[in-house]
Amino acid sequence: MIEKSCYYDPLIFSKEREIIFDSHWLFCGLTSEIPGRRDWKVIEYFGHSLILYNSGKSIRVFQNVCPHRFNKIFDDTRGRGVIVCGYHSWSFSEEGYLVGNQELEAENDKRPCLKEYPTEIIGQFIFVALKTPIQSIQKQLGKETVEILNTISLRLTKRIFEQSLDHCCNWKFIVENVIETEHCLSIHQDTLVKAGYCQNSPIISFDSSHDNSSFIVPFSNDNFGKKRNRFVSMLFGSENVNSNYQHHFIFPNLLISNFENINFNVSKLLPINAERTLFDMQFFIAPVITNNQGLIDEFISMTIQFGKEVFEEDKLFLERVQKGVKQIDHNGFHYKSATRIHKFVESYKKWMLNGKS
Amino acid sequence: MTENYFFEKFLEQFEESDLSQITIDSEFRSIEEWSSMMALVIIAMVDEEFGITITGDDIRKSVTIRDVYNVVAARKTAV
Ligand code: FES
Ligand SMILES: [Fe+2]
Repeated sequence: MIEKSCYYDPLIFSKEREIIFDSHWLFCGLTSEIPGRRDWKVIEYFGHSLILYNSGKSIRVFQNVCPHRFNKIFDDTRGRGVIVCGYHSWSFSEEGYLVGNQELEAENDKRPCLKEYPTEIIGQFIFVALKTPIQSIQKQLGKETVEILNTISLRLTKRIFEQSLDHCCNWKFIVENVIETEHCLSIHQDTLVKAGYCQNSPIISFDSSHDNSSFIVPFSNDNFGKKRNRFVSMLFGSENVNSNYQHHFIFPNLLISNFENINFNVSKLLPINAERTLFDMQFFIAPVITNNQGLIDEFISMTIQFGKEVFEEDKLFLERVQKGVKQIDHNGFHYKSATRIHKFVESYKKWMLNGKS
Repeated sequence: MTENYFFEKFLEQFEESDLSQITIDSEFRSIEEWSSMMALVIIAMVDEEFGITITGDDIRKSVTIRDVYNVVAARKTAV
């Protein structure tokens, strides 16, 4: 059990940031979000504003702060172009070096450049280290997770939706919510359950040397499932469809849902403070094999609708839970069957106590 | 494509409902089994059986089974 104050105490939150988030490779975006040379995207991690930048040769992550007088360089969240600061028009090369021959005070013998963060890419997944990482990305993720990310990357061909949903709750409540299925029968009756995703028990997997976990819920092949197969196979080809719902949690804050290998949610949790978290999500569909645009469009709109409803259903409860945790005088309970939560609790405590894996 | 054949194919997509009272002029949303997913089933059926593309909007604008038939028939002659 995680001690209840860990869900609202600002001091513990700063400790988490230092011990967990600053020492891990953090998922910050997908290469397909910045596919062309000079495409950029901005994300905020614990008050660090970061520019994900496609230099044409590689993906780089820079601090979104001008080294001159500290202006925020990009105000928008996405764009394409040269990195130019609006305040005094300093411009930076694709490698982050100051361009031009501004004369600067002599005490600065070094030419200014943008601060760059260590970056690693697995498939389409870009990871950044806010401080010096304490282990390699391969070691942090483990072989299986690397393989999962590589495989899923091939299927994330069309982004159909993205949003950042502000949740008034601690980031760990969101993690605990998405890695158990026990709540589905109660609150996702009209969505996940009706669609056949949560009618069977999950098959859970994790290993002792990494902090990630997964489950697979076999799809129910009732009448509803059979109906679904009719248009799903026309859209994606029956050989490409898996009859299950898979969920992966990649410690500390990357969440991936894989619905039948045909549509995907890739989300990251961006903690803002102990009681507020941005749930940043993107929905994808796999490559389609039909030309029937009517069918494709309707599938996309149903998928978006479905995904949004599921997230809203959870959000309502997560925010209530955040209020409740401050009132109660004990640490609550977990189902014995929710072994992914036990695994998460164990990882969390291990990091918070020892600061290492 | 006859009206009757279309009607038959339309009803074939439903397995759990009592369809004895349903005619081509019935409102398809009144069929108990109707859901937003059924729109996709119908779009796929129309493609498979008649080689015609209809959209979710075509279905949303339709009220009776005949309305859907009319969309398909119009698109069929237009091809
Ligand atoms: S602060 Fe950026 S150019 Fe001056
Ligand atoms: Fe949920």
